Amino acid sequence: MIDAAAGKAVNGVELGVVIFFFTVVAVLGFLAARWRRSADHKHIHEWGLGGRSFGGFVTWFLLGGDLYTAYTFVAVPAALFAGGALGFFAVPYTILVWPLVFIFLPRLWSVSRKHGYVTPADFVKGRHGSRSLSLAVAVTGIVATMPYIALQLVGIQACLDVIGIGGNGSTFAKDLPLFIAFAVLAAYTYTSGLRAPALIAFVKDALIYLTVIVAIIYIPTRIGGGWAHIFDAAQTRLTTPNPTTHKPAGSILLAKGNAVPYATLAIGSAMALFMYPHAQVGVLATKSRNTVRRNLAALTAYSLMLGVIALLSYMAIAAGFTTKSLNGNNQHAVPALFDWAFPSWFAGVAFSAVAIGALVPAAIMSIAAANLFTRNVWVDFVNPNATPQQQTQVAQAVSLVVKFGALAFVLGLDATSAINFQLLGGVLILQTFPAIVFGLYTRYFHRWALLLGWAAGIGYGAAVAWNQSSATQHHFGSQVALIPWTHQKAYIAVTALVVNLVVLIVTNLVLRAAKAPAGVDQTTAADYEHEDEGEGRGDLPEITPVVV
Amino acid sequence: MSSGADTPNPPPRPATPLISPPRVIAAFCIVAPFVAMLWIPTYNEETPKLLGFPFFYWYQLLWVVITALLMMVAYFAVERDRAVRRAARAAGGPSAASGSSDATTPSADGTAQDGEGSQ
Repeated sequence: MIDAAAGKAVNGVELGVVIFFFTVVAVLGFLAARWRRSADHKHIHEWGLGGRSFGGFVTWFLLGGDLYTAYTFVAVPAALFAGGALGFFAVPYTILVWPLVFIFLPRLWSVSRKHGYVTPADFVKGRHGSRSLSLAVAVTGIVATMPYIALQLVGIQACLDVIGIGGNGSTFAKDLPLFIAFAVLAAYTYTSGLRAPALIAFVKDALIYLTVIVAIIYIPTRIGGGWAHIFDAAQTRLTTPNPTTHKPAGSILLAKGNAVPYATLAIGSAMALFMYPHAQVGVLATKSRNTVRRNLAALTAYSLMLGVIALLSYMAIAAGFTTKSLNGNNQHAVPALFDWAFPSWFAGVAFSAVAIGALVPAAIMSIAAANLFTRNVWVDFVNPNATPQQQTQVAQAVSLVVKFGALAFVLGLDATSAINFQLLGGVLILQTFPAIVFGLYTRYFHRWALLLGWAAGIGYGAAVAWNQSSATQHHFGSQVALIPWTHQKAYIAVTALVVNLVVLIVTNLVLRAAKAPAGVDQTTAADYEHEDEGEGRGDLPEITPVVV
Repeated sequence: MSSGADTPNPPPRPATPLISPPRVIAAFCIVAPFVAMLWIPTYNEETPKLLGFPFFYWYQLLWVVITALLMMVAYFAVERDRAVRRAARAAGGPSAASGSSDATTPSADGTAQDGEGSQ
């Protein structure tokens, strides 16, 4: 039964279903350009933030797109499949995201609305009066987003491999379906902007919830023995020593010394998530200050689903899959489980859920990176007089460039442990936390100190990450490393943030003592409580005309 | 800490205390998940099991639900606090000092709103 997963031949039914859903989504993506279109549709606020008009309902889906990605379906289960409990850090991560959002995002929303900021770097520039700090935040955002987009491609590829297209053929034949999927994605993002992923998110979430609910009820009956058996099987497999290294892969509980990595992975990822430009896009696109806060309780539903999906990896173990039977790629665990457990037509639905679940965030991410480049690199440093229409054109073009950059990432690097992509992005993006979040509350920190702290954090984090080797790669092999002068490992992002903060505090004292010139602050205290009353009122999403 | 905290140098305002009961409640709701999730020795256990799930797994999944409830409570607490402050500001003008006691009624429209635009 296990060999079926290796995908010797193309499964026509599965492929057909995937192509069907993909076509539906592509049509929706192009139609999205007309959805709630305003007279001013060429403005970058329209393309890049959907006209800033999304209410709670759309936002729930859109923000879900930030969490529910190939990260959830492919990368996290692969981590549990390979190493057990440590990979479950994704659950506390997505729990801690919500209180963090509750604290600071309404302030960011208010000040952004008041001053028309489209990106976090816009805010940094306005608050600290520093173009270099703004550039640092923008470049970090663009660079950190690329591996995250790459992760989405890896997820799509995992499904295609299990369906049986890809795998053994020539490089071109292998990657052709991925190219096609990506070209379509790129095209509708180009034409429709943020409206496309917002609209497709409905289809995506419907498919995902359907898949997960069916999986959680049906697959245990195929395996037999209930959840107790699933956990027992996982524990047996994980604690069996590897014949070559003579070490067990892990355990279903955290081993000694893994508590700190677990905690730092959780809190580091949580603090990093809303530093990503794409996550902030989802928030800034809302029509009122309270849209996000009011939806937080509902948004936790995503965290619950993520936890359940993570446990599909243990089901895959209980069903008898091993790294070897997955062709050495743990990321096939969940797709292969679907392929084994479900009839072909429903496996096709499940693969569509995963693939579309990767396309939506990839679109949002590339739009966010494009916004960043346009506003904070192009306009600030290249063409300060660009009209909003020209800005939109640049952003559209950059959204293509970013996606092909991510594609190069996937094709060029070893993608068997894609969670490392996302964690590496986290190491970088977390270093912008002080400039953005501290800036929302205080101007105590000097702009140059923030920049120096950022540089120290990035420098330390990148150097340490580069030096981590693993069995499969010499660099970037792990995102958990020893804390200097200790025997304790921790997520590099958090250690680097500590370096960042130490440098920030010390240099800040020096700069303040030396009375270095602070930049001009565009904002006032009241801006952070600003509520936009009257604008965007009452326009609930009109989705009926375009849903097919 | 509390979500709606003022920046260090707020303009002169009527004296609604910086720390109010709703803000304390909201702060508790926000801090609790961090304490629970980062204090790993409290839950890195196999037993007690629930429906075959080791404690480690069902406890964390349970905290997703608890966090959802806490976020709901925090939202209503913050909304109430904001309504109270707004009423105090409106009623008191620049010299008022005691606007908070009779301001519970206007909070109804602060909590039950379903769209800022309607105000």
